[in-house]
Amino acid sequence: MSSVSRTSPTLATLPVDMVKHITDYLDIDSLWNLACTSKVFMEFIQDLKIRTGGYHVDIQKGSYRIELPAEHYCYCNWEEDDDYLIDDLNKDFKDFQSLFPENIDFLRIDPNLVRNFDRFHQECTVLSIGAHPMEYCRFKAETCPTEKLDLLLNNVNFRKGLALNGPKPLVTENKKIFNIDWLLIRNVTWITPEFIRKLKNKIVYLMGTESLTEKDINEYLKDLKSGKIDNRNLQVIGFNTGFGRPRYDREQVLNGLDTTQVLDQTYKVADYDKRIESELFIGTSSANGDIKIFRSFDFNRDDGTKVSVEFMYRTVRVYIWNQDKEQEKEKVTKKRGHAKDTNGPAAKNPYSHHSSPPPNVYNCGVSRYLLPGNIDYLLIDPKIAGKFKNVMDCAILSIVTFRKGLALNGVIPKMWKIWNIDWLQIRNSSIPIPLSMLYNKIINLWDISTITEPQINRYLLDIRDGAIDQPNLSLIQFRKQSGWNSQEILSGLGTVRCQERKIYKLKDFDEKMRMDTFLPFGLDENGIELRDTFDFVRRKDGVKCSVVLLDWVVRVYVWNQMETKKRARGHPEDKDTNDATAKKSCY
Amino acid sequence: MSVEPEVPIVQVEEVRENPVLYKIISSDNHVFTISEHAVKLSKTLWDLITNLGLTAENALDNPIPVENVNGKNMETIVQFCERHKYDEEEPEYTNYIREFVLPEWDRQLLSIDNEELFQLILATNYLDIQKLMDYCCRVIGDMAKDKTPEELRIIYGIPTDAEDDALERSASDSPGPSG
Repeated sequence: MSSVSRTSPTLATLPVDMVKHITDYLDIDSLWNLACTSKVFMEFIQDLKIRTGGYHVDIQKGSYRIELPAEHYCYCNWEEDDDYLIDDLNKDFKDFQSLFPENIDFLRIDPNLVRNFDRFHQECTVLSIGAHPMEYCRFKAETCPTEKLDLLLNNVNFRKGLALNGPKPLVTENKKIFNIDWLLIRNVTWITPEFIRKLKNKIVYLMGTESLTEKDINEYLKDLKSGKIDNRNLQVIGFNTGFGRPRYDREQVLNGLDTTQVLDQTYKVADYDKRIESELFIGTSSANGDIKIFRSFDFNRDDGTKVSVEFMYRTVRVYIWNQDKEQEKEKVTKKRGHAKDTNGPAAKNPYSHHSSPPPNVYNCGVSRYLLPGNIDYLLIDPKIAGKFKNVMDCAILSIVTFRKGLALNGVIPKMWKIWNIDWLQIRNSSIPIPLSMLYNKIINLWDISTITEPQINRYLLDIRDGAIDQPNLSLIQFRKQSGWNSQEILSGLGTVRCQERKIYKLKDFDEKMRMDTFLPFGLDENGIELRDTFDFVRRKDGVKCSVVLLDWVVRVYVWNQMETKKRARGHPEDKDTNDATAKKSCY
Repeated sequence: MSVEPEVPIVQVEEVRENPVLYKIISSDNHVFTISEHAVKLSKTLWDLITNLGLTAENALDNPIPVENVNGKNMETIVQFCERHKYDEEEPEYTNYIREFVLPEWDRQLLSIDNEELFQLILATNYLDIQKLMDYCCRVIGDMAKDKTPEELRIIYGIPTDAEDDALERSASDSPGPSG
């Protein structure tokens, strides 16, 4: 290492490979200090080109931080004077760059440094100005005039994302904000419907959208549908009303859009870049860019592209399924609801557009002769359901309308023997459901207006007491958009709350179940993890039943997966129960 | 007072194997005995044994001279190899190299002064013992924790730029072998 060798070995005289091996064990500070020992070591470490991952730089009034998140490294410095602060940052960053030449992935600049905005000329992937208002609760926040903000936006070269956080509104119509891939703006009190029509970004999140009404969003969606919004890049756009403000009214937002309710889809962000997580551009997502959409209202754009509108608390988020044309092609070959279909099923067209079905719909005989096989999934418009007179056998029959929901009447249930079929799902209906007569294994009752909390409670009491005999039942779920009163449902059941983790495996799991929404999201052949359940035992056979309460879903899992002998509740040998120590609930 | 039964004490290692032993002679003529499993940790020694055709019958009659390693270092190396001879192969841990924790026994073994440690790492490099090399590098790396550049210069024996220049000048001024 040293240009002159010595007799006794030192780090300076060891062979280069060995010194390199030793530097593998040094943290960032040690590497820096080693580099500072001599010119030879400085050059040596520079030549190593150590990959540290990108920088996060955060400068606020009075201090700055230089982080290397991949190395769990953070360097901080404090300086009262703004000029010296910026000088020091530039010098320190230059030093870091000399040894660890990486890009700035994330640069946050405090708007309180507005008088020095002309001194920032960095290059970064994401530029974030300000932070959540909560972080400024103790500090006076400066107002940031548009011309100063534009100066900063013009000077800093941000390549992928821009977050205008505030705390005070950061008002600008700088041309760069319309074209950046990811855009987040908080305090968008100043944004107009015309502004959002100009956006050419891929991912947009607008928070505190006081100025945008349901009507504005509705009109935007209608324009999106008809192709008037000139943004082919758009993947996700979100509108958040802001803390303490009322939620957007769903009916008004979706008015006239002919949407279909769809559950449990996975939206894949195209060209996912992990650096998008450095700000709240897309809300929550998994590491690979998959966004779970538990419930959305879908429609098709006039060009055939599916659009999903999701309402999550105070946020309306719109997903445009145009990420990958290749995936789209592949999707066509798959059946609806295929387990591997990450982009979700195509939105269905309202049947009202068709006066009659295509003529070959009823005659599958020829194709079945050429390509023998069972029909796994048969989807029938109720308008023509009466014309199917036992001409086909299938595993799943789905009868749906997309505007008004399934309208079951006294004839159809009899005709299709729905009360005995293995898997049953009834959605959006106002017919009375005879809960005590259900002999199905999987039951999903979804927005049935006639089902009430006392009725579910009565049903559960009857199951517990053996007044209802449903030996096949594995899972029943009741969904209601407006939510359930869980206390009423559990009243008098004497449940035991169990917060320990347990896996519920479905008896006779069949992959075909996933072709429609029979199962709760996450339940597959490996089962589903239950963490917080209210358990009771069927008195006649000792089988445990676990009630899972979510805001708008009540699920009852029946642990009849194996031969179960009657035994006391919480028996330690009971493999299905991990709740021997569960505490008694208040219900 | 109880009387201990007279039973032969058998070392666990002897039970596990009937070891083939090899003799190694260090540069200062110290002789060490090492088992076959232990010597296999050194790629250099094992290649030598294979090439020389040493077998269980003739191994002890043919000591292997290692002229680059002194007795002190060889003792440490033999101890290390005997300790780790039955270790399972460790997965590559390059991603977590800085989080890897040195076992206490090995930390004690390698608690030696810096000059010896640098000599040991050279010997380890010569004998090509990967695991000991990793451990030595870990120990040398740990020396740098929370040290200033000035302290590092002393610990690692790094000359300042001025010293280095002066040494280089004097080396170039002195007459070469032919001069």
